[in-house]
Amino acid sequence: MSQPTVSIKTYTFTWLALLGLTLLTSLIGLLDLGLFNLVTAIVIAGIKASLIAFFFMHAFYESKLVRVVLAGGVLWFLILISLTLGDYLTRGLLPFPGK
Amino acid sequence: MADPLELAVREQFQNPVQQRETSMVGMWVFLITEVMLFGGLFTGFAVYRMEYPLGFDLGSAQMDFKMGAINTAVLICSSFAMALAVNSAERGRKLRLAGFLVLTIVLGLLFLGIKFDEYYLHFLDHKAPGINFYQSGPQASSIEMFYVFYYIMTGLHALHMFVGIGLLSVLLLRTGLGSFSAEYHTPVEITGLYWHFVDTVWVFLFAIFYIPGAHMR
Amino acid sequence: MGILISGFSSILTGLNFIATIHRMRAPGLTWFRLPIFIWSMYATSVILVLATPVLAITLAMVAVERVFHVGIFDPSLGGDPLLFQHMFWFYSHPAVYIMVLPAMAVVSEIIPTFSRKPLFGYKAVAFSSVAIAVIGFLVWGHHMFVAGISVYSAMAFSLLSYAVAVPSAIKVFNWTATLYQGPIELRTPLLYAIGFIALFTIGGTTGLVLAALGLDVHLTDTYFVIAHFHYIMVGGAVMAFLGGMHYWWPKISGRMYPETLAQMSALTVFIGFNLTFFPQFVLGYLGMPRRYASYPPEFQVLNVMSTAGASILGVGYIVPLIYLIWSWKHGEEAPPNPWRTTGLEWKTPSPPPTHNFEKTPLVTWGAYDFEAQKEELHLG
Repeated sequence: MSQPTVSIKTYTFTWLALLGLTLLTSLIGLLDLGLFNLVTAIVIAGIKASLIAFFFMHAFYESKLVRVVLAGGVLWFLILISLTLGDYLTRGLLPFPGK
Repeated sequence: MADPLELAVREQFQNPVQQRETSMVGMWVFLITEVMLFGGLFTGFAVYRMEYPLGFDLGSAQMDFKMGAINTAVLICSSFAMALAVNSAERGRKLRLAGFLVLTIVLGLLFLGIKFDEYYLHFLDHKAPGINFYQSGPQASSIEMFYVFYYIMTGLHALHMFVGIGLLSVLLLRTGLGSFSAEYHTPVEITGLYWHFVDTVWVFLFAIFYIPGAHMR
Repeated sequence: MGILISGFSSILTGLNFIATIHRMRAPGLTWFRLPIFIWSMYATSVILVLATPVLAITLAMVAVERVFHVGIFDPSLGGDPLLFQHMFWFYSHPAVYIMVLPAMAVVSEIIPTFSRKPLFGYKAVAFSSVAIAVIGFLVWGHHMFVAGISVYSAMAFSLLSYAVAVPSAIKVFNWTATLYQGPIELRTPLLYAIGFIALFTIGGTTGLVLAALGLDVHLTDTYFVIAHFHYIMVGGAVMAFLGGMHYWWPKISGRMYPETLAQMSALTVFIGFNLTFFPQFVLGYLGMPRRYASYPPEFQVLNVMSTAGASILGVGYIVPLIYLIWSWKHGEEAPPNPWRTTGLEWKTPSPPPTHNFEKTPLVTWGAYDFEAQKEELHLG
């Protein structure tokens, strides 16, 4: 393993992209978009996280197992949050009290 | 003088490639346990944000956006430094490895310094629930809930930063002792994974705590 | 604190097994040559790794709540108790699969050995183990049907709870098919394994009863629930544990246990267990609540029956404890492969040396391939 996995050039582009996205998300944050402030913030954060995972953490270059593990972790978090919010969001839809 | 590569392969492994692969899989699995750990907090935050949208946005407006954004940039730079440290290890450049590890540690400490400064200012401003909290207005209790999640989540993150800096310091020591080479530097790689993960968590914390109320300041 | 520490040990165990199973199998040991025991332990490890952290963070939040007197879950401080329940059950339901999958793992090893034929439907059983782990994460709301969740959410969780029973049923069918027409030896481990199949089936089907929304409204928090989970945990998991103890006892201790006494104990456990817990199903649908210190007189007969059963069950546990300890020093010495069965563990001495194998084995046969090892096993 004396060949580097990722070139310094790739790292530099990733770093600059991350800083750029931080600037972007900050500028968007200064606008009043209601709920979309939070939504775009999370979406941009997701893009930054993907860049960190794929390039800094080498997920792009490692074995398929690593990518499956990563995807599994993200998926399981989504299961937790979506089924929980699914309960909260579907309350009060029927005209009965407490439902 | 025995081959350092052979010395580095532990008994249960058949060859160095298997050892490295297994260590990497192990670290990635550990990181997804951390995803679930923080995930529980993000879920709780989501439920309350849904319940109290105005209060949470007001809480977010009270955050020091500039400090948050600077801290985000600091951590991104520290991740860059860490990636370059791994790159140096892969090329067997020990001096550069040490240098980048030092840079990563320094940036990590800078982040923590800024973070604790923020905490201190919050405390002076009566924004520390359970210790020193005062908020007026109808949204007071939901703003308090915002702060509860803010402290728990950024606090847990800061704890992970401390652990990370500790691990990096150990790596620095081992680099000085000559433990790593182009053929064997797995601890550097897996500590790098941990550090990048902690950075990623902050990226999301910045998004949910600092940005929503930024336009209301 | 104690739970956090032991939880961390669970997470590390799961992590260890996942890394080992993925990357450190012996040469030639492909995924589909692994014993089902390993598939089930792999599924268990996945659950350990994904569920336990959520419990950890939930408990940490409770601790913060108590120490700083802020309301996260506590309604009197403005918190949401249902949020606690969601996060608690997200772990705690998969936790029961953590408990039952290893039991199923043991049964999957015992049945082929004493039927002297390969496991029927290897891939079905292997994939079912994984399916139980995955679907098991989608059903936690069935513990909250009357807690105040939305009706739509409850319906979704109910449907998914029916789905999770399917892979368990697939396993039961495959075990039964393995036994079918096999030259069966009714040794102690098999008695426990067959007991498992019968009692787990009852426990599992009563789980479906509880998963029906309308029925759960009446049966929740009654003795019916207690009977249901004890049929699985004791009738299932504990019996599988005892079966496994007896199955691997020769390997662990290098000694045989006394067979006739062990068979009688297995029967005692089975009888004692049913006498203890079957009346509880009846008590439950008659309306006796759980977690109450006392009960109305009309429930007395069934309660006394249950207590009597418990004493018999207790005898059934104590006798093996005594003879297993006795056998450690005085039991007949065990050969490497007393059951003349397949499996790498039987190719080492009883008990095995620290490094397990003198030479790393090269595996070129299927997990239950009795044919391939015919000559070898007659010598065992």
